[in-house]
Amino acid sequence: MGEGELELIQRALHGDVDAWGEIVRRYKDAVFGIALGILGNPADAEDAAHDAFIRAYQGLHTFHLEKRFSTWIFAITANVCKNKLRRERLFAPLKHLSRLTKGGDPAKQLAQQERTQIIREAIDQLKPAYKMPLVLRYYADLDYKEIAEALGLPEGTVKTRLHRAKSELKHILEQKGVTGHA
Amino acid sequence: MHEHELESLLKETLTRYAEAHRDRIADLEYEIVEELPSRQPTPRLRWGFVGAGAIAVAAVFVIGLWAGLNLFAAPCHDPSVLCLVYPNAKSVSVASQFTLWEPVPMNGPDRSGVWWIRLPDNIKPGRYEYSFIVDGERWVHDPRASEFVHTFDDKINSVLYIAPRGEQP
Repeated sequence: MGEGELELIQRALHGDVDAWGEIVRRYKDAVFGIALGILGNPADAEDAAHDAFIRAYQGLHTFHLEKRFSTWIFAITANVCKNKLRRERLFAPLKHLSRLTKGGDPAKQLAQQERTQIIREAIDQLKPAYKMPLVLRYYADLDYKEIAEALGLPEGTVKTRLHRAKSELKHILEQKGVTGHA
Repeated sequence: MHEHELESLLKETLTRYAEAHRDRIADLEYEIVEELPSRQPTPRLRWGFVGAGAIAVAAVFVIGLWAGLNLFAAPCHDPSVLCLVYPNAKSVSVASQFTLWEPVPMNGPDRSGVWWIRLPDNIKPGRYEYSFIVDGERWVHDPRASEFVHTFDDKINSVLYIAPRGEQP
């Protein structure tokens, strides 16, 4: 747990909303990144991050203080996204890729933007069941055990889904002519 | 494409994409803090529009059971009570200079996961260091304390001051 994190959580449990604000400040980038990776749309990811922090605060008494807070909040984020996908059937391809890099060679930027867009679209083509462990693994850096805990799946299932997700992704990217070298 | 190349492409893409849109959440903590005062982190009973008479009758039966199960809210507003929120702990004790560093079990948890203990009536005025011990092994400082000290073995003790009777601490 990060420095002073347990104390912040305990203060939040006592109803100190500023302490919860500090928790949000610490985790918002990671939570937003996960939501964006799963949902693929910045506006929806923003809503999901907001909902995840509100739900986490409301359910804070269920958090086991001796466990890693990051895994818990990421699990809530993944669940919020899953419900959002289920509810809204958000499988539309990415629409917001107008500003991905700042500064540098414009030609290089454009090439990088296109490449990022292709990969992003490839990720969006994956089923949510594959996309969620993929994002938790490669954006949030969770290990298999933590992903299993976050998604409520056996560790073996997580490994299988990650393997299939990567195979599918590799296939899509190779068809689009994307290679491993920039 | 090799697996490690695919993995680094994935990391790079997801990170780059999140960074590009990070300004959307620049004020998220402020928005959430503004929204939260009307919410509570722990479940509370909401009686709604249930008739007061029915509540009173039910309460007569329930109070005895609740008292036995420690389901009342811990009296944390009382300055002579030490409290710690730790919903999933199996036991919480307090060890202090006023207990001669012997762990003394705390009451609880209440329905919000709060453990509490009332300071002894005969405690003498002075400065006391203390710490909570969760599940017999984990030393936890009091997040509500106004002063802390580092111990020689790299723990953090909380500090409380007992004022002479009739004086404010």
